Amino acid sequence: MSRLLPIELRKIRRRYVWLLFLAALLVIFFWDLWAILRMKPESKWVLGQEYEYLLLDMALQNAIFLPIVIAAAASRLCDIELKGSALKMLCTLEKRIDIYHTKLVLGALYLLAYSLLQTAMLPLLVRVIQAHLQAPPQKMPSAQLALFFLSTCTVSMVLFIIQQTISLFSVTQIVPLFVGVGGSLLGLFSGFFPNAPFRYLLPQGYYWVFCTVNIYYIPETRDVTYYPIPFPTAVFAGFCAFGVLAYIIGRRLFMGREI
Amino acid sequence: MERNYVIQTRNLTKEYAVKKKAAETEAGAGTSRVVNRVDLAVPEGAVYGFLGPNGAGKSTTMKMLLGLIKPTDGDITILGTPLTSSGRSTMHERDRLDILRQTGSLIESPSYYAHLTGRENLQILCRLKNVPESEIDEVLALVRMERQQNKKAGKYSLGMKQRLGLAGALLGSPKLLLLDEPTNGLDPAGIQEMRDLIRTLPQNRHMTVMVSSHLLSEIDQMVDYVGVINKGQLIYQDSLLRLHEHSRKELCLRTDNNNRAVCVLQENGVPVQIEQDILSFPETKDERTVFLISALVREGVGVLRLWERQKSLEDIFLDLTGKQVSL
Ligand SMILES: Nc1ncnc2c1ncn2[C@@H]1O[C@H](COP(=O)(O)OP(=O)(O)OP(=O)(O)O)[C@@H](O)[C@H]1O
Ligand SMILES: [Mg+2]
Repeated sequence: MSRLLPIELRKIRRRYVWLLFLAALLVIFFWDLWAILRMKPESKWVLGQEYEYLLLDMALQNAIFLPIVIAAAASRLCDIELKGSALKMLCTLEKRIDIYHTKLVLGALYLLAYSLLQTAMLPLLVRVIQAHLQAPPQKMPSAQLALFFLSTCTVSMVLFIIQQTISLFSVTQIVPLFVGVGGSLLGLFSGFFPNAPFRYLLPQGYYWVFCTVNIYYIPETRDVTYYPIPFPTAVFAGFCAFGVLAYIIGRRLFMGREI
Repeated sequence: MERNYVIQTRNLTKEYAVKKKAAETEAGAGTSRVVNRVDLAVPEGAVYGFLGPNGAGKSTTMKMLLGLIKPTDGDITILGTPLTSSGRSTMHERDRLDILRQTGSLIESPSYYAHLTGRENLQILCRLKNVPESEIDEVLALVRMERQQNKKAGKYSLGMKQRLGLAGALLGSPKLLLLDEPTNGLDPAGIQEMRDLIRTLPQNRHMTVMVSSHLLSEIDQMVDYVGVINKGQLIYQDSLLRLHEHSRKELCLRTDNNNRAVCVLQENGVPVQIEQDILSFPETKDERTVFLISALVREGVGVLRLWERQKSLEDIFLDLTGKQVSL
């Protein structure tokens, strides 16, 4: 396993998987930056709740971008084994379980880096808001940021497990990419129906489910206000169990596959 | 002394589940036997030709040897180590791979990473096989791919991919080489080169080679042993020498009265066959041929043509096994 990871890294030369995640980060960064710079000085509603504003924003952005990015990344990591039927050769040299795990670990590393950078982006953007609106600094809600990091990692990893399994079985890679795009659209929609049970049905919807901030719209003043909601620990445990199940099924399918 | 076998199988069987409709035409209900109780014996240091028409089960057999697909039943012993017994793996996957690492393979289509250059592909393989990268130049020279080594493998022609695949299989000087139709996609010069290379491997590199093909003529000049598989059954397995003993020539005859000619020849104890107006019988000594022809002429049969013909492979297998096979 520790032997395979460096080999895997050499194999994915010129696949530019990191670029996908970087692109998503940049798009999110500039999108938020643009939104912030458009805030009028009288946008007082955001003051004192800069973090909440961004946490909700990024949950939305993750739900839009990550399903696609993860699908594309998993596909680019896996299709190299199928295009030139390299898997056939690989399976005569390495344990199948190691092959499966190496790809998962690699995906996890990308996702960790992504989640870390995104979480680090939050305080940075908060500074920008405060500078832009000349607002006093706000205390950093470390627990909320930690939960944001944790949930982004977890939901993404579960998505990655599913996408990797699909990708390892599809020669054309159209199916996994289709699943990614479809998941992204559904994940987006599920956000707009916060109280519908629908968002619990798809793993993509859980970027929302684990968001610790909710929004309240005040029609009279046309302002919005944010309020914290408790992290759904039981749901998180259930989701993790689902992730483990997805892993076990994916692994079993790959192990039994005839090549 | 008993020869050592590098590959030995007993009862090797693979069944695939098939849809109901298709199953009705097959013998077993619900399954089709793609490889049927095959007992392979590949002697050490030999080049073993594995012959069979399309769909005979060659690739399936070789994949089972490599553990890429699970046999339904049977035993597999490779390099003296039993890997599978009654269709079940006898050892931990890690130990099985230790054996398989001493095996180079090229199954069905060559394996390569399309986005990497030929050289980078071999570098990956070196690391996987724990072989020093200094071997790369040597195998590249063997398959004559030095000049294309820095081109992306995905942009190679089929023949070049095949060569790259062979180079990869040769890395680490494995004791056993499994090549499934390695000449696929090669030009005539390439086929000749491949043959020459394969033929020298046992001597120069102490390898045993199993090479599949659907044409005997293609591997005739490089193999010592032949196994013939047809519809999943191994119908012949022996040295090429023995096969050639059976491939005697025969004499063909055209006459103006075949019925009469058959009678005359049979009266003289000749096992004659008639097929599309042509009589054929095993080659005989010249004096006897003269005697037979004059006998025919004496009986009023007009001999139109007489010529010599190499017995076809199909006929040889028919003789040997009583089974019809089209190669
Ligand atoms: N996954 C599968 N499911 C069902 N049947 C299969 C499967 N794979 C192969 N077969 C059948 O097994 C038979 C043998 O296939 P195999 O690929 O071993 O033939 P082959 O001798 O290598 O032929 P070729 O010369 O064309 O390469 C074929 O009839 C094929 O249809
Ligand atoms: Mg084949």
